[in-house]
Amino acid sequence: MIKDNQTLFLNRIRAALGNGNDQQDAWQDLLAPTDNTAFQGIPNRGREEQLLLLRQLMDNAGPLHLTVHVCASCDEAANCIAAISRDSKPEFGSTKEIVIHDHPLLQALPLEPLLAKDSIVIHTTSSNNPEVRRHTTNAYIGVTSAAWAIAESATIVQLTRPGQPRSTSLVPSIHIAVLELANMVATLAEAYALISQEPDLDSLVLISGPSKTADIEGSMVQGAHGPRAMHLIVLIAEPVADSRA
Amino acid sequence: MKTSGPLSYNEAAQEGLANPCLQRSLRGLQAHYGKGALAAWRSLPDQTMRSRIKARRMQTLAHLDQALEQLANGIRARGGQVFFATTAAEANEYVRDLARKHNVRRVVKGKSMLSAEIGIDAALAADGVEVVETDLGEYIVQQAGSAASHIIAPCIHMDRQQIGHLFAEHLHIPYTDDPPTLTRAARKALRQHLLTADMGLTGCNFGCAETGQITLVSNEGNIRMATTMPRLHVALMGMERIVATLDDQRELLQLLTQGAALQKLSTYVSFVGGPSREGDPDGPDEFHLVIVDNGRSRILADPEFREVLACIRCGACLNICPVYGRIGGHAYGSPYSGPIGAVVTPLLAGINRHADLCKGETLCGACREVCPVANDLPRMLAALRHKLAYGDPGWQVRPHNRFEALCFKAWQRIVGSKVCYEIFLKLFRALQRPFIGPQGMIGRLYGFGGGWTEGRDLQPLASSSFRERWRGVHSKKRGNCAGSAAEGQHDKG
Repeated sequence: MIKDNQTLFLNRIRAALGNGNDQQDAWQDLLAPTDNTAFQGIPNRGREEQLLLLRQLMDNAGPLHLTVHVCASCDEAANCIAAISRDSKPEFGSTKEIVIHDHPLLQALPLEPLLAKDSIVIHTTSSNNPEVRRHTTNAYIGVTSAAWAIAESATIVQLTRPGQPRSTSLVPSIHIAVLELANMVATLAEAYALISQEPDLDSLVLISGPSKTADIEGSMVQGAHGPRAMHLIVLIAEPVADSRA
Repeated sequence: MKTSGPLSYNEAAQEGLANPCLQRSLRGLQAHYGKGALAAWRSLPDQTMRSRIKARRMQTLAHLDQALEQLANGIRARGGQVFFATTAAEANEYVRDLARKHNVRRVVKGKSMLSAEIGIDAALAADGVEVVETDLGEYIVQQAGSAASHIIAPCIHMDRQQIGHLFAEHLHIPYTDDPPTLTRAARKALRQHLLTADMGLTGCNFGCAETGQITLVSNEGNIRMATTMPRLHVALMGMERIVATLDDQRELLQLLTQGAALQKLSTYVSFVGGPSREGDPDGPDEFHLVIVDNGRSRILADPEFREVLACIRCGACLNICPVYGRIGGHAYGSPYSGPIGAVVTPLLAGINRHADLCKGETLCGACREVCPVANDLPRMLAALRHKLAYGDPGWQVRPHNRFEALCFKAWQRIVGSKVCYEIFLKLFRALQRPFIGPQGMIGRLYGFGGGWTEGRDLQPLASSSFRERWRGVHSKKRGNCAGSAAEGQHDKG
């Protein structure tokens, strides 16, 4: 039935268009990269240029209520996360639980000893954790790693991967994303160029700040259905080994 | 709360004009977003962007069959399912079947105008399925038993006090008119729905043929919730909502978020290409894309109207239209309001049935100027009027008002003959005399003329026409004034 429907449906469109069978070539032409939009490639930027992009991102983050923290080391980043965890209260439950993506960059942060002091529990969203859903629903903070960040719009790109589910940046009240300076890009076009190079990619999200709504008399409120607050931690440590993906 | 359904265009427009809250909101909306979008287009670094993208839209539409096939193949390759629905009934039946098969009790909806167009809520409710809107504005409108009155700001016709009373009643919270408190109350209530629903039902902003993915945008995060937490995700896609390449998608996305809300990018832009994969701890077990025609192929077939399928539903035309800006969205009697609604609603649901829409617009051209894809809506509104005046068997349009047509025929005769015209003037001047009020205007006519003076005064005919005055003043100089019409110049001479 489904195949029949598709044939009838597409035939109706063909009739509407009055196309013959010789249109295949023109459609392929349409898929070819066009000169004026074709992306010229991402320039090889030095550290100084990356820092300039970071500055631009921070300027754009303000109006979006996205808080940016610049950290020089993994220890500093871990302290930053711990401070946010200490200072904020769970919105829905009473226990302080955190979910964190299963990602090498995040696993390198010495979080556990810092959070244990405040009896904050950490759950990793690894593929073999059968309780990710329950942990995520209970958590008040979700920590993720961003594949890239876009300076012109203060946006992070998050790719869905095994151990890196989409709900971590969505269901907890606070979202903390961690980014390495090397993964800053200037524009949405640059980010798309990187996205399109990812093989076999079917789920990703671009996030620009905390969830928001202006549906009641146009009055802007942070925290509609997603996180009420969002933090971006940018690690600007000089890479010891090349950790660029 | 009244629903918009049974009211006529005139009645709903009157109601909108009499709603002070709506008037205030519309003024604010138009001052900020309408003008803002125009300014955004002026400051685009690439001034050819809009026309270039429009051309791409039209080229893609010209290959719509191939584009849709490629999109469907891409999604199926990832284990998603695609259903092509020719009619609203077919789409509804498919989703109903799916809900029955999977024993779905609760559906959470992300904002989708197509879902309102095909009336899927009622279809699901008939099976006892609970359908919950999750966009805050749509949720408010659903609780109020009302209808959305703006594409992007659904409850713009309600003020915070009304919403406060509504929430006090439905969410059992103490009355408040504080937007953050109200938003938090809805957040809490809807979170339970979002975390426990069996099916997420969303629209689709763009389907991309090249990559076999759909893109969904939202600021609230409700659409991400609805596509992540329930075990089923069903996306409804109008068949024209397709782009060829990822590059096209990116540029349209930028135009959409600028046109809709003056944002560089919406808070969340999600790409969905199929169900959850192995190793993904969340995401839906099944992903279904329902591609809907429901009258669109007929628009596609008509070169006069094909352009309207390039629309990306940003709502910018609502934010600039002087008519929408006064009467609000309910008068349009469809999920699609404003200038775009005045074109697309008659084409989808019957030109005669929605005859008032194209006649209510002013053809001022503001919507064409603000449209991110430069759709010539005024041209299409005029084309619809033409069909209503003369009928069009191709679109099953019958002449809308035979009496009006007869009057225009008679008028054509009268103005075609100097003698007839002058007799008409003399006659009308004599007849109008008792109707002219103290302000020098005709305040009220009777019979079929009564419609003219409903809600406005009519300027009476002048005591002498320009021609008559010309004759009086210049009768002796007739030979000298050929080719010039300016009276003053001749006075000097």
